[in-house]
Amino acid sequence: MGEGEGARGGGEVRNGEREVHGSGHDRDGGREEEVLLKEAHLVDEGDSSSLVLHLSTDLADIRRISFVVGVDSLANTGGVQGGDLDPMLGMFWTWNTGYVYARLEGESDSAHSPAHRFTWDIGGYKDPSNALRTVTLDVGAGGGSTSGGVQGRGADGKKEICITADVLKWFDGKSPVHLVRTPICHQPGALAMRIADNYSTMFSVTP
Amino acid sequence: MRSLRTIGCLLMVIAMGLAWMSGGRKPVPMKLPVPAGWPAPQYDFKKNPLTKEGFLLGRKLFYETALSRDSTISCASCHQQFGAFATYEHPLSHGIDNTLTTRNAPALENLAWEKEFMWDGGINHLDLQPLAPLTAVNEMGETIAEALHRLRRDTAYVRMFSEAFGDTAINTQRMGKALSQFLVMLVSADSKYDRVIRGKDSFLLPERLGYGIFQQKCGSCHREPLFTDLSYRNTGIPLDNTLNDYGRMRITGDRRDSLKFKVPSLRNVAITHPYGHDGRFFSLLNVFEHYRKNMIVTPLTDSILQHRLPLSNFEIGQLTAFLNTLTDTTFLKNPLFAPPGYVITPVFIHRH
Repeated sequence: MGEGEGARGGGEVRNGEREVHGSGHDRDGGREEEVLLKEAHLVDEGDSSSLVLHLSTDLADIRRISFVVGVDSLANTGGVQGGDLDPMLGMFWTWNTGYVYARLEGESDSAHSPAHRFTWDIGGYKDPSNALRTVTLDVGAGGGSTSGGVQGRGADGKKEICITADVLKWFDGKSPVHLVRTPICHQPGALAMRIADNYSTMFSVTP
Repeated sequence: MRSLRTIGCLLMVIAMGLAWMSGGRKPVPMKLPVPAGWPAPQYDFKKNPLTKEGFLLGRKLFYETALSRDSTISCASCHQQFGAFATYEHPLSHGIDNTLTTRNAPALENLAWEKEFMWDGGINHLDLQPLAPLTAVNEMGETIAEALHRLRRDTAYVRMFSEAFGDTAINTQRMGKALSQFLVMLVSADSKYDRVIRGKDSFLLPERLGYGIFQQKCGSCHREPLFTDLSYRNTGIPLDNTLNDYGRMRITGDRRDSLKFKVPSLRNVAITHPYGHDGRFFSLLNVFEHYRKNMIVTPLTDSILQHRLPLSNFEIGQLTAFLNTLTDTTFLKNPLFAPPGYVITPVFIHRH
């Protein structure tokens, strides 16, 4: 996963940190599809073990992958959840119930907030502030090849699909969002949805 | 000799009872007492069945100061039973390190009938509610992880979580469920008003007159039997520029929700002073003065209060008499809700 090194608009991102809740399923190119992961998975840039997911499938030829960045409304309204959705993990607003779907925090000279710290916590499950975003990625032709393609084989003979996230897309994936004007996002709403639109474009399958 | 044998048998029975209580048995089911004529509770008991063990664990957690960062504050610090589980005579709640919150601790009563919590309704599930005061820096100031860590090191909790949930795992979900089991049992439905409704008592004249005035002027928002319709309303309370609390708008982001707060229940109202979301009204008289004279009416003020709420001095007197009938001493002194091992001395017993 990518780590921010610079922000557009004259600012600079230092100590970037990002976490994403995603539950996903892989899709075969039309004939079949299979849900590979039913529970939410928390991707924490500070915890390398969370960056690798081991999933098993009967699909021989994976052409597309689809996952949701966020937590569905059922889990947002169903009381205290466990596993990677445990509020203990901090991706949760206790005072205004709801999960934080993605977090980007750091310092930037562009941010005129206290200590130039910017904190973007993105969430929201209720309309009209729903920040759930589904990401679908083409794994590409030649999927299933044993070497060279995007689905290479690891040392243990398992297929590997590498998904990269370009953190700069948070700032301009679909429309520009500036740290100068909005260094803080701590609640669902228009800003959170714009940033969600932006970061939903940050994923790509890396050859 | 026979009496000795009888005592021996009794001891056996007690010993068996104790073994049954502590030995990996299934928790004993409990039932929420639903008063006659009340609507169905909102809490989903299918996902969290009430049990004696769960309730006792929840009660212990409610009185547990180790949940706060410096082990000085428990839920009960601000939710005192003798004050209907509000904070007696304090406008704003106190947190650790000489901090103050921005709001008046609401009474905890009949929570099984509520779906949203806090003055702004920001919390959508009772199981999640305790996480807010637990983690707020101006309340208990602790992380969930550290609080759970402390509970896991306490053998009494290891045993009680096991008795309530079947194994020794102590986690956020179980802590929330146990606390909910205690909280939903805080049912207040045995005031004089309730006895009158049940035909077991009768109002004095001022109380009866006050009840009529109440139904006419207050009851549409403070709806019986909960004495709240659980809605959010702007009642013309102006913004305090040190607290800057816009209420419901903070949750919805909708300007029309500016300065809206949840309609509080009036059950036990005589002892839950001060009143208002920030405790700015010290007595019922202050509240009446607000409604009839001091309201700041704006286009966002509730439609039924656009002309304030005219109240004569006579009406205020009768209303006060009626509101006093909502005090439920059975609830305030119920030893089931007191800290484990604590016996409430009934103050109303006349001693010579």
